[in-house]
Amino acid sequence: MEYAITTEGLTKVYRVRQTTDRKTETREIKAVLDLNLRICRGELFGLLGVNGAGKTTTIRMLATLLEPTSGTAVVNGFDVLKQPVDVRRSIGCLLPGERSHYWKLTARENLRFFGTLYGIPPRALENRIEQVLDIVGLSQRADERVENYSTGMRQRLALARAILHDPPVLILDEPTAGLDVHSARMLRRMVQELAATGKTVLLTTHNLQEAEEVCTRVAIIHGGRILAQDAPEALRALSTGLDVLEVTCERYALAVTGPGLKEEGKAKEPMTGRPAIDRRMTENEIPEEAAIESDRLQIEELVRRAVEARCSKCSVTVARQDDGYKVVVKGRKVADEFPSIAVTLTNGGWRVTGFNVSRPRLEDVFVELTGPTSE
Amino acid sequence: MHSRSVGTLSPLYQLRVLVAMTRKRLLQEWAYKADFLTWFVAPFLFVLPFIFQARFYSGPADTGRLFFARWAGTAEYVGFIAIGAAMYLWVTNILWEIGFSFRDEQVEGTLEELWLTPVPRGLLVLGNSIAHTVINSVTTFIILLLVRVFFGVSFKVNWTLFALVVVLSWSALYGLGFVYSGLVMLLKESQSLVSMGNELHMLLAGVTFPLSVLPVWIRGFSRLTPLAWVLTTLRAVILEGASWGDLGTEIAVLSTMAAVIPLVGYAGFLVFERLTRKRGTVGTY
Repeated sequence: MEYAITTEGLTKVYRVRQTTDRKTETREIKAVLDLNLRICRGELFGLLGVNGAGKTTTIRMLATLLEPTSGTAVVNGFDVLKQPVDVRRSIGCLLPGERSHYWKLTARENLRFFGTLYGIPPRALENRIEQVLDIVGLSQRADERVENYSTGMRQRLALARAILHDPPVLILDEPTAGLDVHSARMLRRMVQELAATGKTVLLTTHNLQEAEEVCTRVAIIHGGRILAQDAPEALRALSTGLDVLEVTCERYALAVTGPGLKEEGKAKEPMTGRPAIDRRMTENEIPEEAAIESDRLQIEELVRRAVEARCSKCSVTVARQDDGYKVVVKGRKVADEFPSIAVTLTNGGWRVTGFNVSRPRLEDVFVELTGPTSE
Repeated sequence: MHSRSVGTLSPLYQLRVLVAMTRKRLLQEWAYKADFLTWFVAPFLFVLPFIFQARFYSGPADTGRLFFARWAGTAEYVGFIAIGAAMYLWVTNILWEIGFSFRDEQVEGTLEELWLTPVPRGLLVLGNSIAHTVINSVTTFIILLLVRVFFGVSFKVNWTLFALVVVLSWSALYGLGFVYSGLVMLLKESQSLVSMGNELHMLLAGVTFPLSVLPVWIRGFSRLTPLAWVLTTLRAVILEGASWGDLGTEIAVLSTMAAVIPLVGYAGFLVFERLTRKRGTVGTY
């Protein structure tokens, strides 16, 4: 496996002076601690964490803007401390804050300036500027001063600058922060398209949905440490949260005999020969408590029987709902049991009228790992 | 990769970077046209009060000239003061322009973007200050021209010697500028540093008075100040038409300063730059 970015024990400790009660003390703040990352070439990797988790510190160390206290970081095969110039040539960065452009210059002038600094020859540069302006959709407004741009346009221009010298690695720090929904979606799409061209993208975000939507792998960072890293799907499996399967069902016919119930189950379903469902149930015909309890127990028994082979620890609850019953099954991978449950219920004389599965989200995993408080 | 098409240390690449940075600074200046105008008017206004003050002190019918000549070695006090004030502006503007060019980038929010490029740091310092060095040099030349036109000061310039002194001065000034640049990056707000530096230069370099009037112990410090040597040498070159032979010591001292200060200055800059990166405050406003 070829890696675009690797870190070994990367650590950043700030020493901060603090004055309390006329005493000045130096306090250590561990911004990033023993960070080990492996980001493959062509991967769209998300660094996920709350504000102050260590995302930006990590990004800045990888971008050579911040010197690590200890550990190593290698970007595109170059050590950030020993070969910083090669690292800078290998990366395109989008840092937070919309004041990263020269506002009194036009977008084209900004790109021309940075393109020259990245060593792109003049003729190739003009063509490349046209290309990147086209990619980020700013061709029509390329000759306007940046001060007239919206936040979203400035962010797109920042992306254009990041890809201008066609670097193999893109480092994007909170690229959609502060953008409206449309601009954020547009930028996410652009990032995905860039990743599809084979670029390695390291993206930081505190937007869990964004990470889940665009990243092929995600690392959850908290208190300067990586708590978990894997594909979003695999991370979701780390959750102690359970799948929740909801099944609604009703009797094919009110053949159940119970106090106050009518025997109306004479009609048969044509295909199965089972009693046809009676849809004429009215308020007056609602089963009494005993009948409901009997139904409830029967359904619970059927469902337990259906899931016991593979999900013995699943919890099953049955409750009356409208004309039928709602079954709630909680357990690991319980969604996989739905076909078995449906067959068992049907064979038991219950028609399945609907179902819904809810699974733990990345957000659930994130909260479980990082704790309930954000900072 | 596009970025590798020109090596980051090739002379062509470095030249392109310097041109691009100068062009960028000029475009930014041009966006504030009123400021652009002040670059050319304000320096002359700065020089005038000193000249009129000197006229007042020169007594009736310029009788003070002889007294002045005893201290300064020239009776041309208007030229002496004009050159002193103009060169003081030239030097301090260049110095602080180099020092504060990164501060401007920090405030604007673009310094980290510059730092992300593969351009050698020293080249960034140079590139960011060339535009203003050129503007300052032009305004200084205009001041001297106006002094000649309005006050009838005659200049007896040895142009080759003048060019050499200017080049040596530039070199020494850029060396100092490197240190200031790193220091300003590290300390951020440094207005007090600027004020103190300017006042010290005003005193130690003898901007509007001959160094010979200073107490002996202060003159010792003057000898360590590049601006004092620059002023002494340029006054001799411009006002007295001094020749190579007359200025052997001065040229030797300036040459040494021009060789040593940039090296020490750049080393200092790198130390401060690294400290800034260790603190993680490259882009901190």
